[in-house]
Amino acid sequence: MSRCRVTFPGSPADAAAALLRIAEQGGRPLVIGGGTLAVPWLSQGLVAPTDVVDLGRLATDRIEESAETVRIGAMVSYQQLIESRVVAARLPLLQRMARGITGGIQIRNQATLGGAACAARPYSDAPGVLVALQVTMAVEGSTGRRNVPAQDFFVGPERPALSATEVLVDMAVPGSVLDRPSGYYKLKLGESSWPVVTAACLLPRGDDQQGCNLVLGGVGDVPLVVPVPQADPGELDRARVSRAVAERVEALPPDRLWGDVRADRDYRRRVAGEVAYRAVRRAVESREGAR
Amino acid sequence: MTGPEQVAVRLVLNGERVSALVDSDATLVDALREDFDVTGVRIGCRNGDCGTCTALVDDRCVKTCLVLAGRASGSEVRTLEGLGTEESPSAIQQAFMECYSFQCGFCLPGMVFAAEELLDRTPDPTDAQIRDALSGNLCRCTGYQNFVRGVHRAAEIRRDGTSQT
Amino acid sequence: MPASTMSFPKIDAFSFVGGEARYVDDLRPPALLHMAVVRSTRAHARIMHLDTAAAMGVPGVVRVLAGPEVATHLQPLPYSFGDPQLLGGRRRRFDALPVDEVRYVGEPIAVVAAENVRAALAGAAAVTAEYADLPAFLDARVFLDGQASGPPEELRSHVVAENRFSSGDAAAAFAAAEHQLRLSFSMQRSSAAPIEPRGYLASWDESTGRLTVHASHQQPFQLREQLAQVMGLAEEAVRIVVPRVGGAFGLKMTGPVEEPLVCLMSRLCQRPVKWIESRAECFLGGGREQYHDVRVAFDGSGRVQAIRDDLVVPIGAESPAPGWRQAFVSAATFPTAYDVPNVEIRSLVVATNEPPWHSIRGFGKEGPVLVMERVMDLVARQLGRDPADVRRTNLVPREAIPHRMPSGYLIDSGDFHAVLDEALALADYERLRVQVRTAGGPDLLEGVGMAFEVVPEGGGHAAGRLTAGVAPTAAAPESATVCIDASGHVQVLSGVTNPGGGNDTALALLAAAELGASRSMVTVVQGDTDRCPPGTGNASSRATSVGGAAVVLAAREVAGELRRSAAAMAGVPAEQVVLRDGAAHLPAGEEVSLAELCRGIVAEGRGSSLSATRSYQPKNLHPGGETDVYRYSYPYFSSGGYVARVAVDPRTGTVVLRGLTVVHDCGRVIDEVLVEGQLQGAMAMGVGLALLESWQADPYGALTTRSFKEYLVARAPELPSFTIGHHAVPTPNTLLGSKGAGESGVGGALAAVVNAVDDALSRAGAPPATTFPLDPPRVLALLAGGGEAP
Repeated sequence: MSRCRVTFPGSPADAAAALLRIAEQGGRPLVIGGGTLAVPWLSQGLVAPTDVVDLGRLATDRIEESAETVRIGAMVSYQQLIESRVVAARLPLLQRMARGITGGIQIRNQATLGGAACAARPYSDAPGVLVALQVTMAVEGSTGRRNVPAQDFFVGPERPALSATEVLVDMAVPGSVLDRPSGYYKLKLGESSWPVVTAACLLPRGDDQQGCNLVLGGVGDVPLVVPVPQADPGELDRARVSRAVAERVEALPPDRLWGDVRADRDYRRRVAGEVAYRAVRRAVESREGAR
Repeated sequence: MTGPEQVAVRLVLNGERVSALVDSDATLVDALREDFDVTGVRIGCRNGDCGTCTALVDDRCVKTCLVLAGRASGSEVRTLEGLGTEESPSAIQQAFMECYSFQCGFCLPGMVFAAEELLDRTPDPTDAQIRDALSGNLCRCTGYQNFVRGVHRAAEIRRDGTSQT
Repeated sequence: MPASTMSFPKIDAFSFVGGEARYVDDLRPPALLHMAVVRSTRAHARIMHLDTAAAMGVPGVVRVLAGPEVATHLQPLPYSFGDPQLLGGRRRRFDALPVDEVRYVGEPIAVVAAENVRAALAGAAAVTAEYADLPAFLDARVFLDGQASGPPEELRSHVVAENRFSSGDAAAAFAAAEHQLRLSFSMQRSSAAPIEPRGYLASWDESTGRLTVHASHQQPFQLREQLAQVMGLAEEAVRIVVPRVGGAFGLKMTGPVEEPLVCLMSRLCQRPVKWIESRAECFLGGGREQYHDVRVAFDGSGRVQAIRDDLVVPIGAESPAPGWRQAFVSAATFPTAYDVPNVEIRSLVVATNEPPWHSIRGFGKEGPVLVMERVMDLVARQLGRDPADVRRTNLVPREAIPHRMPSGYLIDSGDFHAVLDEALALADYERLRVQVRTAGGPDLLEGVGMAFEVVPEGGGHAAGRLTAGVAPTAAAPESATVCIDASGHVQVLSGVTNPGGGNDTALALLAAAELGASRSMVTVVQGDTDRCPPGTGNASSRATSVGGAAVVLAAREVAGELRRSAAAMAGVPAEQVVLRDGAAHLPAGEEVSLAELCRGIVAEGRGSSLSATRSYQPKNLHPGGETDVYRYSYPYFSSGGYVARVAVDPRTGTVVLRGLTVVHDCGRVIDEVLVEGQLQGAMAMGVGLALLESWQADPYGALTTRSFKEYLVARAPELPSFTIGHHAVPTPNTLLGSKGAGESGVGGALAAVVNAVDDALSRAGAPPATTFPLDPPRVLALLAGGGEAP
């Protein structure tokens, strides 16, 4: 006997239709992506859905490169990101993040970038990186498809911009962020720990006029975009980066600072500048290395 | 209201075709243990943390507590039972026995398969690569030291072919 | 060579790597039911109403039991390890399920049996309870104030025991002291967390009136005794069988209420019932938490003249399980390896509305090691002296051993100075000490730290002078049966059990050596109360030292019989027969295989096998010239010197452990590989306690560290390989001269790593580390000048 009905839709449209049906019947759905979060909730009895929609047969697990964008399917695993030639060559930030995912070989095989995005946990790796990469999230609903910029996708802690009848289809990385020098730094309390504070940094490509993208995870309740003064990246020293971070964090209402069992708000605030600086430094180093 | 529901799960399990009707909210580790009588996957946390439910699913090292059984239907699954025999253990099995890598043995499904997958990709790993590869598995008995020795020894056995009798 | 004939360090190795090993959850008898536990959501409350009707309506649910019904079937639970009065503790009645009051979040209030695990969980979730909250007592630190004058009246109801140990005249020593230090230490609550949680399978057989319980357990005979008492059965009507155990570390001792409940459920449902603990349930338990207010008097040479420690030990809710007894051991182990002439230890053991303590590896001995090792370092720092020298000045010298401690514990053996010096040499401490001062920079602080650990072991945690009215204590025996059959096969049946480490291999080696047999001729049977002679299971680092001694005695008797038979056949004196390589060797150079010898003995009609059962009790040799009489207490002390090297990232507070070295004295080493395996696991746990592991609850007493993502246990990438050396000083108190391995390493590694981090931080101007674990937020707070981060 099962406590709930389980369906395995074969396409995003099927998934959206299934969710609509559940909503119309007044059911409580649970959507399973990579499974690393939702399946434990279910098996430990932490949730009591009437229906489970398992996206395992969605066939949204491809990485596609076109002239303008790199499209990453919602069900692409971290291991696929690690092994992808396109990601290695054009999106080293994403590859570096994927290599550092907690949980070993198995979780890198199972957990998905799209699942982490939809979980929208403030401390997790993916949201900040997706915002730094200015990704566009393609969302399928019963009335069709819509695009949401990553920065608008993360509404609050564990609150993605998804209605109860929508699923994430893919994430489009724009050409403007490809091939740019990047750095990623993650601070965690131990190997077992989920991240505490993360920072992702993209520097301008060569001499063009793009700015520096610097995004912090685990400090606010959503990824924090830190405005960085337009300067020669070589001048992005510890003091300058820390000051920029401090100003951004101070501007945040206190109730939007994040704290959890791993570390309180205070600690996160104190290390944010340093974590950001390390991401910037790595980006600068990767730029030097590329020259 | 939803009623009781089951899902047909067909697997090639350790080389044999098997099938069963499984509760549709059951995880793969539950189905393997309850419906297919496998004991080489175990339950330590149901949270993806400890790794003792690890099996190879379509040649990928997977924590089976994180997969609904229905999703795995149609897959090829290999557990500890399907790896080597006492007469002809796999290099990892042989090395872990030689090096006193494990004590209580409860964590072995994750340790063995993570090490197998590492050596498939990286035949001569460094200490750091080994420790990273094992990082999805918890062991409370050993401090991991003899697992690291064991993986080095297995790499040696794979190179020299001294595992086979 | 086929694997089966190879001599792996662990017998039966393939059954593990091949997936065949059977743990309790692998057992699935026909008609099996699964039990789930409904738990209190309140820290302290009156149960106003408990509704189980909805649960009975959940498909698959067979039976729901709550407190009032259970009380009609079960007797109160007895205390494990004897009356609390042995430790100066008060008594309390324990029922398997509460009828009207809950005492902690997570306390079982009902149990549900169902056709499968998921239905049982759904049934448990359908049970509803209404509570009327009572005041919850969650922070025992209020007892720290004014402890000298005794606990305030309004808090007395929480006091379970007051343990006081003293020697010399501390007050006078403080009055005359050249230097003084006052320090507070807070050691966090932590959890045993084996990868296999607890689990029991109870099978009641109505036709025979017998109960068989398969349990992932450390103490089958104690469990049998308790279940018989609680169920109202004769001990002979209860059989406990321990299958493979996926680690225990103290968690799996007798006392949790699920033990009788799963048995009662089986008897009432007339079907086998299994209960497997979830990870979140497993994390409810904890131990080790303690708060110290320490004063130290010392002279300019670093010689400690006096130590006074007021400690408060919150043991969670009172429980019949032995966990709370660790509080006594913590107080009684002061001042560890040091010869301090004036000592005053005042310990308050306090009940709170947190889940009860379970036993944990180290059994209370880690706390005092941590405190004394911090004290030695801080005395050295105040005087500007090398911490190694300060330890040398204070360690009990070899010639003063046996050494009576203030509590009455007796240090039986050891050479602490040699062990410390060898550890320092093995770690190249002198070089490290210079290196950490010159290496690093603003981005990295390096540190080196040491610790000296003593671990009283072998069973016997109560202590003290045996004066009028004090109940005496005695050594628990271990026993073993050794038999050899007509095919020459040797079977060892032992009353000690194996939680995973491999003491079965050690027992096989010992029997084989006495019989001149090869190890592959020996099988070991443990953990079956119908087949094995009684024993204490797996506790107090005594399985090999005491259990092994019983095996040796039994094997010697069988060996003697074999020699006499061979001698009679050949017409030579028995003393001239040598048992070696599976045969009896005669003076003329002939040999008779053991199998052949046994066939002869069997043919003579002396039974189907040759068998002997022996038991062994460790001794308690008292120091010469001692006039007082003491209770029997821990018969042997292992010891170790530890050196850790760390790097601290001062901008984030993260710590990397670069190296950890030990030189250990466990007396005679029976098997180096097994001993080192025990040390490696214990040291990994100690490192975790120093840096990672911390049980936490919310302000209402509900556990927040419910998974391994919050309760952080060391993983492979954050540990270095440890360097291990041995310095064996045999104990006079066991047959083989061997002492314990198992608990050693937790306190030593913990204290050495903490001292190394503190060494690094102190050079950056931070105050002393006194609150643990030293996780990044706490390290950063120390570097900012404060230490008491939440």
